[in-house]
Amino acid sequence: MAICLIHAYANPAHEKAVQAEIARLWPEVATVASHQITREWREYERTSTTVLSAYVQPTAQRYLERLEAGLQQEGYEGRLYIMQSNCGVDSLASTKAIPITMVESGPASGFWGAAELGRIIGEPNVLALDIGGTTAKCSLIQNGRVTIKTDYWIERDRRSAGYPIMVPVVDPVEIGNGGGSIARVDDFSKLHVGPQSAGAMPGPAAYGRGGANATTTDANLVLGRINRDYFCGGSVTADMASVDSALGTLADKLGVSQQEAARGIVRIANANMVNALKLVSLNRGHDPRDFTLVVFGGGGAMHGVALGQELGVKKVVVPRGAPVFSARGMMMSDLRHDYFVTRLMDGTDRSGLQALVSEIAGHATEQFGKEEVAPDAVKIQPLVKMRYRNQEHSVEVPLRTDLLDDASMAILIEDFHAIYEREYTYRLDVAVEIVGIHVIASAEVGKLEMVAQQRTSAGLEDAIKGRREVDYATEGVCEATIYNAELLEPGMSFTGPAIIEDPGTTIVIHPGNRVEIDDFGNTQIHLRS
Amino acid sequence: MSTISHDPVTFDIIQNGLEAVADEMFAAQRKTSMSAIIYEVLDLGTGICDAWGEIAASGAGIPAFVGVLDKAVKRMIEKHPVETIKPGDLFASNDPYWGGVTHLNDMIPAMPVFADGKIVARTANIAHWNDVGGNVPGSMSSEATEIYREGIRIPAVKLIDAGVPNRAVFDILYVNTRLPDFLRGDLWAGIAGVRIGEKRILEMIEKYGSETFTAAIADFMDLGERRACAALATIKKGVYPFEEEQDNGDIHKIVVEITDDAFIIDLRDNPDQKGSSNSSREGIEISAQLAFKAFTDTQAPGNGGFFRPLQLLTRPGSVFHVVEPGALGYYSEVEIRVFDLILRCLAHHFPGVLPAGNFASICGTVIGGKHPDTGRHYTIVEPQLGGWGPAGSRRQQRDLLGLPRRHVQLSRRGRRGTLWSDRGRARPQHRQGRRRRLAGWQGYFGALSRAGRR
Repeated sequence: MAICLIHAYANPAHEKAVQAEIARLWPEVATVASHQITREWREYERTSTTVLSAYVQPTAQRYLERLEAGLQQEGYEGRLYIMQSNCGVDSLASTKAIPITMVESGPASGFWGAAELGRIIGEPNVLALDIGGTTAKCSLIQNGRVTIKTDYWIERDRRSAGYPIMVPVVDPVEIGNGGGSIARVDDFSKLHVGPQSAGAMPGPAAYGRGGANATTTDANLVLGRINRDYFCGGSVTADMASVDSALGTLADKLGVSQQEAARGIVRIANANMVNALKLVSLNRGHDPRDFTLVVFGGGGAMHGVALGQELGVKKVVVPRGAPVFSARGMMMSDLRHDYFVTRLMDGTDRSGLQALVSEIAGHATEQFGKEEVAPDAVKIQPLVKMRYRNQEHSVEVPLRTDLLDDASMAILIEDFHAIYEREYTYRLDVAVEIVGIHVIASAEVGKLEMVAQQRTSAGLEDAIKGRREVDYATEGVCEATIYNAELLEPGMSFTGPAIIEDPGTTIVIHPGNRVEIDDFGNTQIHLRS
Repeated sequence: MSTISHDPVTFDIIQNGLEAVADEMFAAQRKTSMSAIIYEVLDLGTGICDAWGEIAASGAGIPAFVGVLDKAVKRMIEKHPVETIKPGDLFASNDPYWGGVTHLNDMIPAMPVFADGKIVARTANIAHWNDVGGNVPGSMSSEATEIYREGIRIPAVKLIDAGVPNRAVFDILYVNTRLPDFLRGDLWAGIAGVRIGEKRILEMIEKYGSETFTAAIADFMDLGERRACAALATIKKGVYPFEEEQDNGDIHKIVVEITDDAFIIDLRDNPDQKGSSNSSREGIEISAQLAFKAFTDTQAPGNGGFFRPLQLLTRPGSVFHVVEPGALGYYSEVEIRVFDLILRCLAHHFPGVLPAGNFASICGTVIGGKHPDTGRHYTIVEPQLGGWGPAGSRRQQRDLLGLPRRHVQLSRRGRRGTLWSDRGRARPQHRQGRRRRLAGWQGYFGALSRAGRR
């Protein structure tokens, strides 16, 4: 049962009373009250979140309990943490109480992995892109920091209002484009790619499982970007007859050749993904030239370079183990809580802000204490939510010092003007208000470190599998050198056109790109050689 | 990296790109606005027009507002010939007699986008401002009979000249409102929105070249027209008259005529203009466009091409075609009723296609006064919610007018004015359906509020 009262964000006493009374009258039912999830105003979003959390709670609880019991049975002795949507992990008990916090945990772990990767290779500004079978998700990492927000909506698009979820979620932009996205031609001869997906069953036509629709993967096969003789790492025989038939139907409707139709599919899929990447970068006032594009998921490496060129990023990095990179990101995350508290005050209210920050920091340390983390191991980062008086949306301004004085308040206000102007193109000479704070509290709980890869005496030529014609869609057909990813070693470098084949993914290197394998086995692609 | 290529995929990429730009304009304006009616109620709309002012990408926001933009831009083009316009110019209008379409509260900033020395597109947006002066707080007076009593008129003037703000106009605006801080913030939010649109379009043109860009827009318009004609072809031709009594006792009459290539809405035989519940002809055109699209093809792009088969006949001096100096404060009630009238006419002759009628009002609530804590003037303007007409089948559920659908959240009211809300509830109310076959179920979401300090 979900409980949400209009003003519980400010004072939860009544919500607690309602919850206690329900427990007395109906002890068998699980309850969740809005103040347990968030202390921000806006009763609509808060109610929606509370209801959704209550909705998934029984299923999630059963699942998590089975997981715990199963692990114990198998002799697992470590602590079990659950990945959260805010790029951190949390204890099993907390997650069972408010399971809605897991909603975007998959993409969050990938984005966190990209942030950590950026730190290791000295690229703190990262655009992270995860392309799977059905969707592509991206997020922006600035100065090594992921953006965590509480205005996340599920099932929202141009035609559907969706549902708000007011929990800390890594700021993602998602579009319905992936390797399995179906290409179709409408009654007015327009080509569309996605959001319908062939999924895993029947999957792309090339799987030979009865998929009659041409997908992005099929187009990549026809263009020679994917090796038809090494499809899915050689584990599947590409059903090219089925691909020809699916693509042929599409090409006939468009009145073009199969090759031309395949190029169209790849270009439209790329354009869809570029629009999503622009949403998280350009549209928020960031210059892509300052960013490194990190691509992962099964389809990331296939489209990464084309997208990077379109956006004009510094370089494109395909991490080692790109198809399962999200799992790796999960192993690199910290125990983390994000606290959002609404409390309106003037931009000059030094003591009010100081009191609020201390209160929440104290609360955070206490909560970590319950999870057996010593106070000095807890890292606290306060961000102040500020806006011009009477405005609605606030921007987050990092607090640079622990102790506030007049000088640091002045710096805070100036930082606000600068951040605001970058995002919205203008600044105003009017009073500034503080709406509340966002405090990030984290503690390391032992994480996987990336280690440098061994070098052997093998040469680059050992990694060459052969050469074949590849259609790059935008740059036309070129003869590309094909490399075996498993035989590439740190220090090796070469230039495109090339294709790197890994059992789980294919890296498409366009003409003129310069490739370097770094110490950790990541593929770094410089777009302008 | 400019390439001349007129292949259909490039066109698709540009057309989708334009929609993404219009969406970004919406996001930027919403986030920077000062007034709850913009950022929360979402009483705004954004769009991109072609060089001649036809809507090319219908952007985001209330459809009835997006429909204003092409009409406003066309009027600006009439007043300011192309040869007098420079890059960085920005025009604004709120005056229904000068392209403003709705009422004086709605301000429309618009700017040209230049490529190779020529205008290739225009970005525009519209949002409701809480107070533009006039007789009463909130500027919309139910007693006004002349537009002079409804606030300051900005008749499609140049607000920014080649990037340099025309201080005089800004100063005049700032003193003609009870809420100068809000007006200033909302004005700059609108300007930021059209400027971001301009910037993004220039980036697209740099990539694809202006020739390909304009060809893509033309192709998009043609696609709209093709879809409208395809939809028309499936509709039974004929002349369909209808009339109904209004709440004030007036009879509103309509004749819809559907031919092989035209959809003609005749509203000439209607009462004379009076009071402030009148609409400009352009406002009624929007109702006609929305009804046409709802009836024919809701999935089609809502661009200028799509509306080419639509014709509207009105009589100057009537409630549906107000002439100067008639007042228009409550134009919205007229627009909504006409939209409903058109659909009712069609529902009558095409049973089973359209959903039942909706609550057909803005239920606009205006409360103003001096804030007891700050001493500053406040105005709360907000629409209330009502039920949407039910549909007999999924197919009948259509994206209709798109009135403002959200109200100000109760937990935030106390911060704004002196209105404090204790609770809100949905109140089901059965009303006999006036459309055949479907009884109208009209829910009402009421917020019980009390004035005064908490």
